[in-house]
Amino acid sequence: MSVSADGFNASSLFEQLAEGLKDDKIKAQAIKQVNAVLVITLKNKEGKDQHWVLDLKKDGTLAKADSAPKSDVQLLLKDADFVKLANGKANGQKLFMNGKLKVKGNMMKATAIESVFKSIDPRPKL
Amino acid sequence: MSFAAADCSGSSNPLLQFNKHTQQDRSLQRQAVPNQGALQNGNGQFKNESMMNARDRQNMDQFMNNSNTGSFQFQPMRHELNMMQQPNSPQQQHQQPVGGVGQNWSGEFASPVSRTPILANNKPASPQNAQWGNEFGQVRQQTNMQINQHQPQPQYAGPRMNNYRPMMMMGNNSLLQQPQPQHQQQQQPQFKEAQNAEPQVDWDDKFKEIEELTQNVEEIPREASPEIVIDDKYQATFDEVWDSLNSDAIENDFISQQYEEFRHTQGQAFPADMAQWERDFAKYASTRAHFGDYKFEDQQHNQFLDLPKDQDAYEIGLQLMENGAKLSEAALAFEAAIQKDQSHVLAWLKLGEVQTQNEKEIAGISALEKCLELSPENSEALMTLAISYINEGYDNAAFATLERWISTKYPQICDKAREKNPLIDDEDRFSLNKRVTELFMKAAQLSPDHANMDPDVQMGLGVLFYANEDFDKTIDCFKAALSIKPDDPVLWNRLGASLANSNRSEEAVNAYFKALELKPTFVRARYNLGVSCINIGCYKEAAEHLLSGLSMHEVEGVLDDGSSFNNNQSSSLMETLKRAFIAMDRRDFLELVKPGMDLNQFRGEFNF
Repeated sequence: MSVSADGFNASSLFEQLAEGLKDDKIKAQAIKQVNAVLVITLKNKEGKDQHWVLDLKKDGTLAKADSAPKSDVQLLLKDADFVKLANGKANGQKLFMNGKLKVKGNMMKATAIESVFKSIDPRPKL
Repeated sequence: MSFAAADCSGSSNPLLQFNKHTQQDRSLQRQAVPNQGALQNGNGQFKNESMMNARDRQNMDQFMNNSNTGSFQFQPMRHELNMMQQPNSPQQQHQQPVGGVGQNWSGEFASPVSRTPILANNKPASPQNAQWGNEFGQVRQQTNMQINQHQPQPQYAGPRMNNYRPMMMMGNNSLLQQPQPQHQQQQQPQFKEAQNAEPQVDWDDKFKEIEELTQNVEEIPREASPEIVIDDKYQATFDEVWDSLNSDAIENDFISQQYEEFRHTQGQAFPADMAQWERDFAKYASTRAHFGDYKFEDQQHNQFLDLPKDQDAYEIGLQLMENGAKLSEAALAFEAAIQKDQSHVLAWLKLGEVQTQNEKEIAGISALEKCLELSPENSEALMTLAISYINEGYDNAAFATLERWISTKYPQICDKAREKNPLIDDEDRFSLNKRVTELFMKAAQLSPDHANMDPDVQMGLGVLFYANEDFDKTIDCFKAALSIKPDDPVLWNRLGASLANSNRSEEAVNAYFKALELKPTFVRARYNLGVSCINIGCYKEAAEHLLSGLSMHEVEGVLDDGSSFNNNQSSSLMETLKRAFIAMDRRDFLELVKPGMDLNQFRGEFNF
C-alpha cells in the first residue's frame, strides 16, 4: 500500500521514509532511538486531514490511516509545515512554540521524529 | 540616669531621645516618685495612654513591677522569658515556686494533667531537680556499665528496662508512667547509699537487689520477650536453611568452574602476551558483521583472465588506474591477478582500494581484510580499511584498526603508552576513541613542522574526529594532509564528505569537483556529489551525478547479456538515485531503478 496521499506535499517525504525503513540497519536504529508509535496528522491546503502511522516500536513500518489509532504520541500540523520540518528547514520546537505543531501524548517521543528523518538522509562517505 | 536624660531632653541626639523614651515608659508606674519632672511625666503619660490599649498597659505594668531595679535591665527580663511560657497566667506564677522548691516528685506528678509538657520540661532546670537528675544519671551510667561488664545475660533485661524508664519519664510527663515514680524514689536513695557507703561494692549483690526491686514492677517487659519460647522452632528450621545454603554453594562452585573454563578458552583465543591492539583488533573484527570472502565477478566476463603469458594482470590494473580507465575495469584486472596467485598481497590491497573508490564498500572491505590476513602489518590496507569501517558504521572496528595502524607505523609511541598504562581492559566506544586519538596526537607531535608532517597521521586523526562528529577538527586535519598531498583525489573527497556532514554542502561540492577533476572515474566522489546536490535541493543534478556514477560501473563487453556485476553491486548509488527521483516526484523513473537496469533509458531526460 502506498503511503502517498493526493494533495499532500509530504507524500514524497513519507515515501522516502518508507523506502528508508526498508533498510534493516536504519530500521533497527530508528526503533532503538524512538521506541514508540507515532501518528502524524496533516492538514493540507484544502483543509483535508490525513493520518500516517509510524510504528517505531516493533515493526518499523509506515502506513497511511483514515483515522488516528491509539498511539504514544500524535503530531498535528499543516502539510507545508511538515515538509519544512522533515527537510530540516523548520525546527520542531519553534513550530510547537508558535502553535503550528500540536502534540498529543508523550512530548519526548515527538522530538524523535526529526532524528528519524535525518537518519534516512544519505550520508556522504569518506 | 533619669536626671541625665531629663537634662538632655532638648538635645537632638536620637540615641538620647531613645533613652528618654525608655525612661518615660518606665515612669508610667512611677508617677508617684517625686523627683521626676512634672511636665515630662505628663507628656509620657499622655503618650502612653493614647498609644496603648488597656491590655498592653496591663502587661507593661506587670513587667515593670517585676523588674526590681531602677535601671532598664534586660537580664531579669530574659530570665523571666525563659522561665515563663505564659507571662500573664497566674497559674504559672503559682506553679513556679512549686517547681523551685519541689523535692516532691509524686506531688508533681499528681499535679493537674492540664499542665503542658513544655512546662514539665522546664522543671529540671530548678536547682534541686537538676541535682537529682545528675545523681540519677551517674548511678544509671554506673549500673549500665556494670551490666555490660559483668553479667550481660538476658535476665538483666529487667534492670536495663528500669534504667530506661526514668529517662523517658524525665522527658515526657505521660499519664502511663504515673504509677511508677514511687518506686523510683525508693530506688534512688538506695543507689546513693550504696555508692556513698562502700566504694568497693559487690555490684553483683547490688544488682540482685535492684532486680528484686524492679521485678515487682517489670512484669510487662518479661511478657514482651518471647524469643526464648520460640527459639526451638528457629533451631529446627536452621538446619534446613543451612543445608539449602550449602547446596547453593555447590551450585555456585559449578558456575565458577564453568566460568573458569570459559576464561580458559578465552585466554587461548587471546594469549596474555598478545599486544593490546591485536586483542582489540581480534575482538572487534570478529564481533562486527562478517562480510564474507571476496566475491569475484563471473570469470567469463573478465577479459583479463586470458591474458598472454608475458602480461601481468596486476601491472595492467595499475596502468588502467593511472590512465583514468573505469575503476571497475581496473578491479577486474586485479581480480584476475589474484585468481592467478591467491597470495598476491599488493593485488588484494589495490583491489580493496579500487572497490572502495568505486563505491563498493563491502567488496572493498572483504578484499582489504584478505590483504591483512596475508600481511597483517600493511599500513595502507589498515588505513583504508579503518575508513571503510567508519563508512559502514563499525566504529569500534575502525578504532581498533587505527590502533593497529599506529602500532605498526609508530611502534615507539604505542610502547610508551603501553608502559604507562599496561592494564587496558575492555573499553566502550568513547574511551577507545579517546585512547587512539591520544596515540595519533603523540604521533602528530613527533613532527610538528610542516615539512615532515605525516599526512597519514593527519588522515587517521581526521577519521577519529569524524567518528565523534567533531567535523571542524576533521576538516582541519584533512586540510593539513592536503597541504602535503594536494593532488590526492581521495583526500579531496574525504574533505568534501566532512564539509557536507557539517552542513557546508556548497563547499563540499567544490571539494568533490576538485576530486573529480583529478580523477574523473572516482565514483565515490560522484556519489557524494549527488548526495550534496540532494541536500541543496538540486535533485536533477543529483540524479545526473548518480547516473553517471552508475554508468562507470558498466564495463565494455559485459553489457551484452545485461546481467553483469551481480556479485558486487552498489546499493547506495541506487538507493540515493531513488531518493532523488522521489524528491523530483518522478514515479515513472523510480520503478525503473533496479539492479541490471539499462541506464540508456534515462539518457533522454538526464545528461550524464
